[in-house]
Amino acid sequence: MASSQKRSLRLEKGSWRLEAKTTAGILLVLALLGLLSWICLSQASKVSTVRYSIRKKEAEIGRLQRENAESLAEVTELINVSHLEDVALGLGYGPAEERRYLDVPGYPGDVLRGRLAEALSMDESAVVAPEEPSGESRGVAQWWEKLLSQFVAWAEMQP
Amino acid sequence: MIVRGRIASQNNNDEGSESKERAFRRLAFVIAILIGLGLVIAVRLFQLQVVQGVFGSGQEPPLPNYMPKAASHRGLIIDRRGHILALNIFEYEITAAPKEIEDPEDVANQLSPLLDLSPDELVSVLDSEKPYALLKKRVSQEVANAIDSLKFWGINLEPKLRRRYPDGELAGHLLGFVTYALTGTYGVEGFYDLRLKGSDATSEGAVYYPGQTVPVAFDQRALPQDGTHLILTLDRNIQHLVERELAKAVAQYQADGGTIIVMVPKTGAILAMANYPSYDPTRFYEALELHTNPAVSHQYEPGSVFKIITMAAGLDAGIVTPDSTFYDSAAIEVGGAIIYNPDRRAHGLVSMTDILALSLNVGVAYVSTSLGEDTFYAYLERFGCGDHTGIDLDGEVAGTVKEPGSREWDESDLGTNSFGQGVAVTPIQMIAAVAAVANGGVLMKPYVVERIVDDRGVMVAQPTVVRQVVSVQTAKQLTGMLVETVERGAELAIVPGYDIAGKTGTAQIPVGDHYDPELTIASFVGYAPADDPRFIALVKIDKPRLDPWGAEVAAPVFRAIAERLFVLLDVPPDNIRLASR
Repeated sequence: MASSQKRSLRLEKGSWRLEAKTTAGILLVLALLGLLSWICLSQASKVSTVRYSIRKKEAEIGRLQRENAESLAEVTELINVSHLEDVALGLGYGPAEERRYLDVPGYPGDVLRGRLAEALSMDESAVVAPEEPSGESRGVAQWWEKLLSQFVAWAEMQP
Repeated sequence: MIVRGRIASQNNNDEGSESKERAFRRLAFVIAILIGLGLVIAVRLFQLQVVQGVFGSGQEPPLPNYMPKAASHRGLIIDRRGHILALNIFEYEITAAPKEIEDPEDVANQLSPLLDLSPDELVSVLDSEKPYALLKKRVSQEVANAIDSLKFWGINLEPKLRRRYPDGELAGHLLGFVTYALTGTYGVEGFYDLRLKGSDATSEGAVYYPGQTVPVAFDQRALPQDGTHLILTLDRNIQHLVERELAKAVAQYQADGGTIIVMVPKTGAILAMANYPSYDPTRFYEALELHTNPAVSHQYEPGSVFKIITMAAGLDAGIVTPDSTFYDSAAIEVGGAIIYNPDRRAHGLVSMTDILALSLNVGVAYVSTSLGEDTFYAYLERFGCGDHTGIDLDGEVAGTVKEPGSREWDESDLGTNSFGQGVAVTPIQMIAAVAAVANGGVLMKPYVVERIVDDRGVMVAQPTVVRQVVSVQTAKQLTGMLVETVERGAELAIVPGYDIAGKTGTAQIPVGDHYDPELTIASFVGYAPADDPRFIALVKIDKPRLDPWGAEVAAPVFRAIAERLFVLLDVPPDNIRLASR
């Protein structure tokens, strides 16, 4: 009888010991869950904050785009062809009644041609004699001279 | 034994109550920890949502009253000089969530002057338990800004993209329009709809209000892709000029309407395309019967202008030369039908140049019958008659050429088709065919979009050669004949100082199984300078009541346009231009 009572007492104590372990486990799990919740909430918070700020910026961009579109429409309507024509006519402008095509002396080829001719007919004494060019630079000089003479010949052929 | 038993029982009871007490303490500890954890989370939530204020302080909505889903913007349409012909504006739909409005009367009083609605009318809508109510459509940006500044909770502004055409009716048919469903229809808008519209942003996620996703939802998004911009070959100044001259001519000759196309023959680029009557594409809903573009969608019998094609075929096939002669006895019989000249007179011995200059039906019928049906219709096919030109505009229709040997075709058609009767073309087909003659015999595909601009760069449209329809020699000979034709038969088209090649047309209008005895289509097609064409223009005036003749109605319109085109395109008179070569 006594031994059976002792066993039941030991069993009871044993069950309490088991409960303590479970409790510790539950606490650990809860602590972990709490920690995870904290991390998750923090991340969700950051994500939502960033997302929110992005959406605010998107809304701002959208607003600016809409205002820009409105301004563009206003400007474009102000410079539409009918409006411009009315303004031009109001200022006394209109289609030319008569057109004449003129030969403008010295425009623009003649000016260039004159300058080149002037440069080529410079008094040699006024020019400091250059050093004897090397073979390579002589080649370049000849090429340049040839090109220049071709250009002058071409320019002279222009009306 | 009994006593011992009692003592044992008492000991057991003491231990039981002690262990229960310990259990309660542990339970209390666990609960305390749970409460602690709950408090920590609650504090953090409070910190996040209230202190850091994801949703703000609660004094006012932190976001504007509208947060539309990111939408793409439709591309602009711009002319070759950089003027914007089609752009986007925004109008707003004002909606309400009556359940969320605390003081409907105050809101109604403040919105009433802005929305141009009576306060009572607004209160009847706002003072309800409905989750959603539409207050007003098509509200301007200015009014929307004013409403937004009031910061009413429960009043929403939904921006809606609308297309606007700042030049009104200018090039209305060519541009087409965009419906309220943002679908491009007709013209450039219809043809390039997919390119112009771009793609909206896509998102998946929880929605807390129509069109609004919950910020914390983990959605997937693709950014909106704006539509491409189109730069046209069209010149706004030339278009304006052409439309003005067309309207003037229609009024002057009491015509029903008309069409003018100006094209660069060497490339096929369209510089102007005008129809009268036209419509403003911004208000497309006001002119439902005018939506189709007659320049590409309406067929007509071209009349004598078509003699250019017949003569080109005759010259190219070697049947005739410009100086070949033919005895004109005022009439010719083809397939049992007697064909007469427009003046019903006999002109005796005439050259092929005379035939064009005097616009002799009998002469061209002689050419077509000399060619024979196979060769003649093969040339028509080569010129693109009866087919689409492939222009990049919505709604182009093909012309109609009866197939020889078919049930509809009659042998007499070989004669009548030669001067543009019994054959139907669209204005764009006609000008493209004549442009081939101006372009040394090379048929070009007409086009209106020169460049396509998007984020990736600029795509430049290259002129497209369709085919060589006649030889360079033929084109040159025919151009010479057409210059003489203008000098002798269309003096009103002449611009002093310039050689113009062209041909008039006065076409009868088929009504059922006969032709209208009075009404005609007066037309002129011409290009200049003849030796190096910078432009070709087709003028077509429908049913002019005061004067039926192309030489008197359409030719002067051509001259008025050509005079200005020489200036706008910087083309000096022939003597100066040729001397400077």
